[in-house]
Amino acid sequence: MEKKQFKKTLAVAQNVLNECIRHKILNILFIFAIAIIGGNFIIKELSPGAEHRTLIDAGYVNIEIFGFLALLFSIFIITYEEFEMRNIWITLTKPISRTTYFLGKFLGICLILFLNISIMFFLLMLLALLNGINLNINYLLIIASIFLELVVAIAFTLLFTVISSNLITGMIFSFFLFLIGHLTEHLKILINKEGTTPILKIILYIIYYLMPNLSLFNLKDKVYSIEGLFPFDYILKILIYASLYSVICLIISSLVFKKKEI
Amino acid sequence: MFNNFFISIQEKRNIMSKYNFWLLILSIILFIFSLILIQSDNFYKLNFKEFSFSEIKQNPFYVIFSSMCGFKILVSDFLWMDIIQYIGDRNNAKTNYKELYPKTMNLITIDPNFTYAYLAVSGILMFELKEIDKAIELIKKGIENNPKYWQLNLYLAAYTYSKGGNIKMAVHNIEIAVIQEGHPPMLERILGNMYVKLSEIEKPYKDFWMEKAKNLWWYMYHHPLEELNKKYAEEHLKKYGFMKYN
Repeated sequence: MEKKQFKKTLAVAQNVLNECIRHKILNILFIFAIAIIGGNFIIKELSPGAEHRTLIDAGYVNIEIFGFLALLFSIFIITYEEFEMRNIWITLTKPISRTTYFLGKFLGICLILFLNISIMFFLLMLLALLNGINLNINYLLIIASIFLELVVAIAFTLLFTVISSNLITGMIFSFFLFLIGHLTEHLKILINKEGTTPILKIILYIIYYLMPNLSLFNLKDKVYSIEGLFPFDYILKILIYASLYSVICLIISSLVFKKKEI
Repeated sequence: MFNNFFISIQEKRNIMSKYNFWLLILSIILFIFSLILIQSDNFYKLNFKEFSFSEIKQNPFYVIFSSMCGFKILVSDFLWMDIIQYIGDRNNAKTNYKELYPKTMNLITIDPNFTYAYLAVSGILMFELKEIDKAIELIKKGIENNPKYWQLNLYLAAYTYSKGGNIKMAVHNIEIAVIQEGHPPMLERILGNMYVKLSEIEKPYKDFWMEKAKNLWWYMYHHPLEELNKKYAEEHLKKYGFMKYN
């Protein structure tokens, strides 16, 4: 029974993947390639002494931004077709539960993100090698952390698209949560500040735990402050964190999606 | 019959809802636990620091903007490009590049590990603009933020020596530099020569400095970074009578 459900989830995921490719989501990679290769020439001129560093930093930031854009576009296209073009009616007439469908959708978007990020990372590393930059395993760990961060972003974006009545509103919420999620860590200043009342502290703690703490995944900003490799146990911990946050978002989303009138 | 069928579906749904509910509660508990686990991690404690109010006051736009977007180091790269443009503009020579130091301070507020900026800007301040104190202050900040980056100690040694011929300070900094990995072999030979020079200048402490030189040469002899270092160490050990000629 469970094997059957898993097969159905995979079928939906594959369908989402095909749909995204059909809508030329991967074209975003061309823009990335132009940005990073063109940027490489400019960086050489503008940043003497720190060319290698700037190339790598710009590359990672581009991967993160384009990855986030890719997931937003994918979710937008899929959800738009589902609800505005009523595609979901056809899907749900088949023997497939809403939860399975939703999980498949999540998995499909994760796959398209993985595909995007892998190609972008490959391009960046190729450029780094051509520029004579010494590569190590840290570069791979950084990209893994970016992927985890974006998986969390997929989970909360899907939650917003289900909760909000308007697709655009959901996207805007998601965009702002992505930005604010990087500042969650700094809430601790307010929590630990003298003069913060106990009630305010409790409220801040609730916000701190509710909001996605995306700065935990930000290994690219730490690459020059550490010696050697990033600790694997930390990577494992953020993997658990990302998984649990995504699971919570998915459970809430599927519960809302079950009761949603289509 | 139909009634029974619908009841069984309803029961199934209830069971599923309960299952989802408990799964959600369990996930939330585990999630909070995972966050606490991360916070107790050493890597997290050392590397994830919330920005201080002094940082925000000094540079509110860059600190908040770069933190919010999650790319602090890229913003620091852009600030570096801005510094390069500033240095490249000849019109700024009229004001003796007075914005150079504040701009660099902005940069190192965002990324204290931008080691190249410390080296390059302090070099310009020291040798081009003759602002020795600022150069030393900057390089000291660099050492404070990057204690294991030997080039900074080497630069500080050069600056303090150039400023007032403070050879002891130079020796102290080179001693720190030669402990670090990746230092050039030549640095050990320079340090040896400086010990000899100090033993000649400070006659009362001659034995102290020669003892230090001896230890360094023996170390260079047994663990040479390159063949020339071993040869140099052997020559000096023989010259000062610490090793017998064959």
